[in-house]
Amino acid sequence: MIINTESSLPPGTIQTGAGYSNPPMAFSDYERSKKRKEQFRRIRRGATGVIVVLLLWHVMAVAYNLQLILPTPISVIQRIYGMLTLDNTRWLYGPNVYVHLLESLRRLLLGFGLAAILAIPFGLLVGRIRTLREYVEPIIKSIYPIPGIAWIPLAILWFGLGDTAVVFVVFMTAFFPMFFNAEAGARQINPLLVDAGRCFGAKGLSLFYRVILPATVPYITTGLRISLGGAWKMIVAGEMLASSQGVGFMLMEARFQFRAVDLMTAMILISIIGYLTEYLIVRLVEKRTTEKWEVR
Amino acid sequence: MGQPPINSTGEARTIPVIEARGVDHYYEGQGGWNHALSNLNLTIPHEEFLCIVGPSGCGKSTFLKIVMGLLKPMRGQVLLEGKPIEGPGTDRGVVFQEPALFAWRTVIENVEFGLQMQKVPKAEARRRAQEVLDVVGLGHVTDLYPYQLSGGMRARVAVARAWALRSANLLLMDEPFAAIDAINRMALQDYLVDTWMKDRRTVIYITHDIDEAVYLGDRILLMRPSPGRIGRFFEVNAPRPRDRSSAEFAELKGLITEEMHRFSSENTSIQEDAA
Repeated sequence: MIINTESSLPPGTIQTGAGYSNPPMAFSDYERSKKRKEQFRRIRRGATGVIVVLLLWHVMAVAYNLQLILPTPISVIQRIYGMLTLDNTRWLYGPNVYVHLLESLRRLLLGFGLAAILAIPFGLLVGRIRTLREYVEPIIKSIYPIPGIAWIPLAILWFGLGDTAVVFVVFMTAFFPMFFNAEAGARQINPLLVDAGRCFGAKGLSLFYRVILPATVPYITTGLRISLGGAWKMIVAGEMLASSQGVGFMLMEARFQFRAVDLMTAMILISIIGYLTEYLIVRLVEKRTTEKWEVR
Repeated sequence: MGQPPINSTGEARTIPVIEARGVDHYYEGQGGWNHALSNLNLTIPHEEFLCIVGPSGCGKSTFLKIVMGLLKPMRGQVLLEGKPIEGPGTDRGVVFQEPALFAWRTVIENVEFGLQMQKVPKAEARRRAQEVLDVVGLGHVTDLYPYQLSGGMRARVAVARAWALRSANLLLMDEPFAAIDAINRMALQDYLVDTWMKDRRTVIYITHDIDEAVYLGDRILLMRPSPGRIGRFFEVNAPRPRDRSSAEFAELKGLITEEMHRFSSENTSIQEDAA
């Protein structure tokens, strides 16, 4: 370790120990420059990976003359730019791209939000109350293995082709990860914390809200994250089969029109939006909770 | 405890804070039931600092859990100021073996917790919490989160959280400083004595450290193991703060230690007889 001895010595002190007299730089500066170097290295390596894949992609497309089914990265990037700036040449998908994206986001928030509002409190209750757990565990466990996609035909039968069917399958997909995580979290709470809460006068709802909910937050954010990923995937699947709007519809329509550029463009937009929603929803929760009170 | 304690209005209180009558409790262990407490009768007067010592398995923590209201005894009952204990509540302040702080609350919010549950107005709760934190020497770290504190500071926050409850005439402490190193433990004991001298309440303090018991207690109850029961009481009359290096201190410590060894050797001989 490098110690800055200069500040801790009284003025006029004659330094004798040879090794300690002139540290190369202050500890904090050393730390900062080390961090910067590490960060730079990480970015460099990540960028190298991305560039290699893009190059391979480009070479493949050009060398084997596959542009019709594998457009070059440059043409995809151009297309993204064109779409986002509403360049409407050869636009085959009805309303503009923003309408499709907003439609998908609206469905995501509706299905995911409803699932969160129901799954988290219900999971906490089932985790804490044994009687309730014994009642609901078998039914939950028998519905859980049915994949979200398998609900699509039934959803179409019940709600018709359109919005409600998509929101329904998103709900079914998003519900379980949040439920199981909240339940597991509520079960593993240090019993001493619950005892402390009760001894200091918390009971019933206040015990849930003031002790059990905050103590479960790390589990809940994990559940949110898994559910959000699943919900976004299910949006695309649902819209491909049961809707005439949204990014899933764009994908399917691009295939029908044999437009590989538009197809890949839509895929990249899906990736970007998926990342942004995760960042906005889950990171926001984490910033306001565990990041403040947990050891980093 | 020469004369009966006097309360603020000047009349002598005749109802004891705690009265345990014939308390019996068993735990399910390997190969049958463990007799944790056997016919325990105990009366604790107002403003007494009672220390309970004894080897592990003598039922001291079980008894405290019963007083906390977290455990119902299988037989007998414990009266708190004349009324049977129905469950946990803010009429008792508790400190557990681990600090058991709420990680999502800052130091001062932890101390306010009980007051908040009692619906004490916010400003008043904050004032009270600050006051108690000042007494335990943590007035400067009120806005830190528990993970930012040292073990000793966490233990002090736990004590402050219990002490902040004005409604609690009885404080229950289950080896609150057991996990702290010896030097810091002495400092914490001094904080506790200080706090108690300024604001006297009845305290039941469990420890396995005889030195700590002699330093803190008005009266020391040595419990006997298997089954857990009353062993012997010792009175400590020395004024506080006590001198750990005095002859009386050492003598009493020696006496209690000797008695404890006698109890445990009796037990081994019983077990040998049975075998």
